[in-house]
Amino acid sequence: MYSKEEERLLKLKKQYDDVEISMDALDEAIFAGFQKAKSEEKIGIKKKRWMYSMAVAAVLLIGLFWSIRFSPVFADYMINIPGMENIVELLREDKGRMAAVENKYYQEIDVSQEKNGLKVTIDGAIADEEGMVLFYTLHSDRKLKEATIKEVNLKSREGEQLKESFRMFGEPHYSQEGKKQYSGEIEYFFDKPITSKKYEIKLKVTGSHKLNEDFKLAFHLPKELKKKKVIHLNKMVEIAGQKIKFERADVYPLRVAVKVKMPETNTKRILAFEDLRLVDENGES
Amino acid sequence: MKPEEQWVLDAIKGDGEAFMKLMKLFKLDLYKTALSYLHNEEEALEAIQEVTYRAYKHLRSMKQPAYFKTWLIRIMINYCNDQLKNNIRITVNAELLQSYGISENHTVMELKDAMQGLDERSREILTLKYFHDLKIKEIAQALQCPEGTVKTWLNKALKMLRDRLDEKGGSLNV
Repeated sequence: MYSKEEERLLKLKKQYDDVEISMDALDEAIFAGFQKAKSEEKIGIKKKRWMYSMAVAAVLLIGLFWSIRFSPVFADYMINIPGMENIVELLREDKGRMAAVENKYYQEIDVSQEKNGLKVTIDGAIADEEGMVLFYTLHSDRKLKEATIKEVNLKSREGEQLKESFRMFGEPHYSQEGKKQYSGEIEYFFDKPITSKKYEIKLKVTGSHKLNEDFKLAFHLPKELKKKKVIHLNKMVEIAGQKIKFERADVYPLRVAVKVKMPETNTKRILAFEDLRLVDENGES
Repeated sequence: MKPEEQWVLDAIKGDGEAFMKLMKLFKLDLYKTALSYLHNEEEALEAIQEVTYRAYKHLRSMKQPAYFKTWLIRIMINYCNDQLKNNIRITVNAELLQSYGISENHTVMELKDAMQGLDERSREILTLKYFHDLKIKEIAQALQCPEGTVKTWLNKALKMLRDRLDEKGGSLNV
């Protein structure tokens, strides 16, 4: 049908077939194109490698932060490495305490005393029958490089004898450039459930600029002391032929006490629980 | 399997030498295609360089090793079409014709002219069919369309070519 056209096309092809061309020039062109692609490939690989190492570094870093945040053991370990303390402090927060605040166990107190340019404020507390955590803030007129709370003494103003079993009032505050404000916590736990609502706290603040002041603050807890919530467990667990009975859990805003009992039929005696932790339904402690 | 098909497989796996062998095997086909489109030796060489580059970069997207040649030629045709769009100044001048080392007669010039006037697809089909001796089936595979479609396109292309040649009032009018 189009034989004429086809014929002409083939003739034209023949002409191209007959074209003289230097093979070297062709090879050179091919080689040049190949080199160009090759060199770009190398850059691509380098870029990819760089991206990989970045990704790995990011994963490691996130893993590190995650571990500090959720594993107190690891956090304690990291804190020993110079320069890591600040990062650990930032990341590590007491989840249980955060939950207590979120669940409105936190009560505002806002009592303060000022002496020689230093103001001590008790901002608030989380308290239950067995323990109390007081949040304080130090305000200073001058920049302080160091400030330490010492000689803390908590007394009931209702004549109640507080049988404290545990007391902790933060590490010394320290700042290289000096800060005008420091915040911290004072923790108390008692052997005997407390009933008082009015308290008096005495403490001493020492620090740079020969700071050494005694403070005495009276405060009262506005909210009811949270009673413990008892959860009966009555669950028997058997490990290596030894039985452990979990009788009940006493849940306080600040603590959880789990009562366990080992039947006398056990052939071994359990001396200690190690790596003890409370895990929620999500596997978080 | 033809040896070049094995080369294609090797090249896809990253064997640069196999790729170079393939390029050398098909360099004349590529060159002639480039020449038929660009009518310029220098530009054709440049086209070969660029097509080598593109082919290597997209080697992994090549699916059928048996159609490596068609695949290469199509890259070349695409490149040439891009080039033509970029510089519309292509006209056959006497100097270049001499550099081909052939004395071109009037009808050949006419045909070249007519080819240039065709749309991209028609020209591609004619190039593949007549300059590279590809079968309808091979073209269909390369363009990924049914053979019937290729036939239709080919007929259309030939008809357009005839019309163009007729317009010129060439002596070959039927």
